[in-house]
Amino acid sequence: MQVSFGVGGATKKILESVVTSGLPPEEILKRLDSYGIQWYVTEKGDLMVRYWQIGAEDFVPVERMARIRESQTVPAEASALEWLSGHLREVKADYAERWIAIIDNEVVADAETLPTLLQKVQDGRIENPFVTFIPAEAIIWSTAYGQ
Amino acid sequence: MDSKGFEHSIRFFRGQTGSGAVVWLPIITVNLVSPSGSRIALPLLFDTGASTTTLRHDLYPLLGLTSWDSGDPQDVSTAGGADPVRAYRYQVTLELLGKVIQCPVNLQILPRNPLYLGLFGREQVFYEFGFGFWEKTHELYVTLTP
Repeated sequence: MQVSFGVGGATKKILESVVTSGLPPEEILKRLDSYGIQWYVTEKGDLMVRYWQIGAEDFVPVERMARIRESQTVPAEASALEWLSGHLREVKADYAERWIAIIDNEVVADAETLPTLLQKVQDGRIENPFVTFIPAEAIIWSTAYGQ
Repeated sequence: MDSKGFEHSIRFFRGQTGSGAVVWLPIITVNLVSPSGSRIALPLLFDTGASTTTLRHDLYPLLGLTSWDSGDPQDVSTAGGADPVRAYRYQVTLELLGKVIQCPVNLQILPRNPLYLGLFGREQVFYEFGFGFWEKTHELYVTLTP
């Protein structure tokens, strides 16, 4: 199995060529639609896009590929959990004992209490954030029945 | 033998302990729909041993409550302790894979874990969804029409 952490690829090249083409924004957005690139224009006028990157080549054995591809439904929120797990050490260093809200693999708000975080989410018009609390102590991974 | 069909599969979450060991956990992300209609995505541990979906007690603001202990009091036995612990029961709206359901939820003091904030338990939830559990392939199968 080969693992790649490179970001961008063909999508990045398309973006660079389209965005720097000098076309009006509306036309650029149409082009992105035609390439199947999901976009979002922020309140500040920034263009945000979503794109796929290779996480692992030859990840699924051929005999299981059809069944997995047929049934796959990936909730958007699932990526937040994956991202958090992969960056837990850094997140813990920055946000220990705080509540955090994650959108698109980024901590977009944090607070000492949940009500304060929810207020920030509301004020920032952040829709459907992934919310969790970052304890300072080590994670206990195992559970078992006691006496 | 009966056969069951599932429209969705959810891959177990892959975690790594401090010693580097890999652990697989059936963590699913559920949207909690607040009384105001906003949605907050919460990671919950899929737990067939939990009678009722149980959330950390300090999530009470998401339910539009001013305290965690204003609901119907319940004594609940836990996996880790001999004595029952106190939980408070509420009715909430949850969304999984686009399906919205009303179900009872207990608020309870739970161990602190950044990767899940509660337990996705059986009551009502298991009537609304069908689940297949496949530990060997680290997959949870879900149907919205059991």
